Amino acid sequence: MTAASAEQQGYLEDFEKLAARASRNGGAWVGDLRRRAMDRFRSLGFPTTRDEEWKYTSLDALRRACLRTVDAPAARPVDGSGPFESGDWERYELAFPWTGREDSTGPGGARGGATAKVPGKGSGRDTPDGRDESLFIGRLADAVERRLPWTEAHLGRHADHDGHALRALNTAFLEDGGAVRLGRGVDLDRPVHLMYVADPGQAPNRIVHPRTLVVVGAGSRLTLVEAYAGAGDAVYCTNAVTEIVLEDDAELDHYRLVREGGGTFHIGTVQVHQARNSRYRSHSVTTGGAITRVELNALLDGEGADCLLQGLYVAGGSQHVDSRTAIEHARPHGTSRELYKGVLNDRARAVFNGKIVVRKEAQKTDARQSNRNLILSRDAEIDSKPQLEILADDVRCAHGTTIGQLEEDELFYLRSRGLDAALARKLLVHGFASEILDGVAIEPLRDGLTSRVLAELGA
Amino acid sequence: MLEVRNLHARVEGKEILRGIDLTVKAGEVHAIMGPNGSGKSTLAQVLAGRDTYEVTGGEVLYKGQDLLEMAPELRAVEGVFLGFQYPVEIPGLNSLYFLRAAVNAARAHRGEEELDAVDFMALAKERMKAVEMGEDLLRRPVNAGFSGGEKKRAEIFQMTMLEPTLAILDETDSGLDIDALKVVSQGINLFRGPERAIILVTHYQRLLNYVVPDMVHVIHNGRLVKSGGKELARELEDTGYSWVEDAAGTGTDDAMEQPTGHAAGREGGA
Repeated sequence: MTAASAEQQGYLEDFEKLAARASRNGGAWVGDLRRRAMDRFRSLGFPTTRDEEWKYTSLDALRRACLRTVDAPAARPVDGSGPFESGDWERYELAFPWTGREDSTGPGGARGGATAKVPGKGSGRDTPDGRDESLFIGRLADAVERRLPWTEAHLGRHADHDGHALRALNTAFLEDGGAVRLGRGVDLDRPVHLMYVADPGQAPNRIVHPRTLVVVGAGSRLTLVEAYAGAGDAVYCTNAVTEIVLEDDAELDHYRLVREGGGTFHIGTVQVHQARNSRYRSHSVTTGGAITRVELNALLDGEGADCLLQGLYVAGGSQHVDSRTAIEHARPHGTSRELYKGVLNDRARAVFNGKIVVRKEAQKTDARQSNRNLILSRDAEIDSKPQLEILADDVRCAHGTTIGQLEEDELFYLRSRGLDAALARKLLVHGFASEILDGVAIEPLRDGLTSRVLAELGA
Repeated sequence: MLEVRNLHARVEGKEILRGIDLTVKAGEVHAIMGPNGSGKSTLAQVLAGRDTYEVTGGEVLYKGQDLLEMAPELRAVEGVFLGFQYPVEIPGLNSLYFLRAAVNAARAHRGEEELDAVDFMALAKERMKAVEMGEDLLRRPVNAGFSGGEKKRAEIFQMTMLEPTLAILDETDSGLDIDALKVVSQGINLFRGPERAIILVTHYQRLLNYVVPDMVHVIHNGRLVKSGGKELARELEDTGYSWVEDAAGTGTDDAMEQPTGHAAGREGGA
C-alpha cells in the first residue's frame, strides 16, 4: 500500500477512531466496506486539476486545509432548527445537524446528531405472503444496526468509489444520514424532508460525510427534499453521497437544495439506479458555498425508464460552482430531459459538464440536454461542456448551450414602465430562473427558494 | 407640456434626428407621420429615454423639466408613456406582477398608497374591458406568445392602467385589422382628456380616421418638414410621401433610412 500523504494523516486517524467505535454496529460487511473505501482514498489521494474530471475545479484548498471529521452521531439530539427557510408544509422531517458550539460539546469538539419527526418505524421485513410492504423513514445508522436487508443490498453498491476519492472518503466514514425505504405500491402521503445542517461555531475546519440511502419499491411514489444548509463564513466541508434506487414503475421527485455557508466546500454525489418504467425527476438548486461540486449520475437500467434533471445554480462573489451530470441509457425506450440554468455575478465561476451515454442496446432512446447561462458581470465565467457518447444507432439525442446577458430591450421596456433599473434586473433574472423554480411543486418551498435566489443576487 | 427644441440624435455614428422642433400642449393630440426611416420611431424612443440613441444637440422640456436628464423610469413615473412598436416578450415574468409593480412605482412616486392585489385586479378587469382584452392574457408572461394585435391592445391597456400625462404611441396601428384598430382607437379616445397629451407616431393615415388629431406633422430625414391640421393627413393619404421626398430632393428610401455618413446626410436634408 502506498504511504499516506501528510494531508491524509488526519483522515486516517479519524478513520481508526470511527472503526473502533462502530465495529459492533451492523454486519461485518459495513466495516469491510468502510475499510475498502479508506484504502481507495489512501491510494487515490485528493484529485488535482490534472485529472480530466477535475480540470476546472481545484480541491487544493480542501486538501491543504486538513479538515478533521465531525464525530457522529452524538448521544443526544441537537436542535434541528437551522438556517432553513423550509416554510410551512406537511412533511416527514429528519434533521442531521452538527455543531461546533461550546455549549453542546465542550471546547474544540464538534458533534453531529439527528432528530426525527416521522411516522412509526417500519419493520423492514417482508410480510409472510412474500410481499414487501415495508416502510422505513429514519436514520441510516439505525437501519444498518437493525440489519434491514435493503441496506446491505444497496448501500455502497451504486455510488462507485473506486475511482473517486471523495466518494471513497464518504464511504469510509459512512455512518449516518437519511434512510428511506418504501416497499411495493406505497404512495407516501407527504414529502420526506432531510435536513443536513452545519453550525460550525467555534470548531471550524471540520468535514462531515452525510450518507443518504433511498430505495423506492415497485410502483411506489415518493417526494424527497434533501437540503444542505450552513451559516457563517467558517471553513468546513460537506462531503455527501446519496444513493437512490427506483424499482420497476417507481417514481421519485427529488429536490436537492444546497445553501452552505460562505467558506464551505460542498462536494456531493447523487447516484440513481432506475429499473423498468421508473420515473426520476430531479430539481437541484444550488446557492452559497465557496466551492460547490455536485455530481448527479443516473443509470437507466430498465426498459422505458424516464429521467428529468432540472438544475439552477446561482453564484456571486468569488464562488465556484461545478455541476456534473451523467445520464447513462443502458436499455431501450428510455427518455431523458435535462435543463440546467445558471446565473453568475461578480467574479463567480461555473462549470457545467453534461454527459449522455447511450449504450448499444439502448435503442429508441430519446435524450435532450440544455444548459443556459445568464452572466450579469464582465468578470464571471462559465465552462459548459456537453459530452455525448452514442453507441446505438436508432436514437434521438440533442443538446445545446447558451451563455448570454440580460437583454437591453427587455430592460428598457421595464424601465419605460417606471421600474427602476435594479428592480427591472431582478425581475428579468427571476424570469430566467423561474423556469426551474416553477418546477418546484411544494409551494412554500418554491417561494422560499425564489426569495433566496433573489437575495443571493443582491436583488 | 412638451417642448422639443432643435433636437439632434444619432445611433452608431449616424445622425437620425437633425433638428426637431415640436410643442405639444395639454389636451392635444399630435400625429407625427412619415415614411420608413424618417426618424419618427427614433424620436419616440429618445423621448422615452432609450440610451442606444445619443442626443447630440437640442433640448426637451417636459412640464418645464429637462426630460433628457431623467432616467427612463423617472420619465415613466413622471407621466411619460411609450407605446412600443414592437413590445418585447419576456417569458418568465408574470404580467400581473409586472404591471402591478409598474402601477405602484408611479403611485409611490406621487406619494400615494400602493394598490393591493385585490384593488389592482378590480381596476385591471375594468380597464381590460375597454380594449376588449381577454383576462387570460394577464395570467401569461409579459407579451409571451401574444399575437401582434394582442400586443398592441396590451400596450393600450398598460397605458390606461398607468394613466400617464403624455402618451407617445409608436405605430400602435401597424399590424392591426380593422376591428382591432377600432378597439385600440376607442381605448385611446377614452384616454383623451384636458390634462393629457398624446403623440401618435404613424406611417398611415388610417388610425387618424378614428383618433382625430389636433395637429399633424410630417417628419422627413430627421426634421419636421410640414405641419398642419387634421386635413394634412388626408392630403398625405391622397398623395403619399413622394412629394415630401421630391421636395427634399433625396434619392431612394433606403438612402434615407440609413444615411451612410454625415456628408450624405447633409446633402439629403439640404
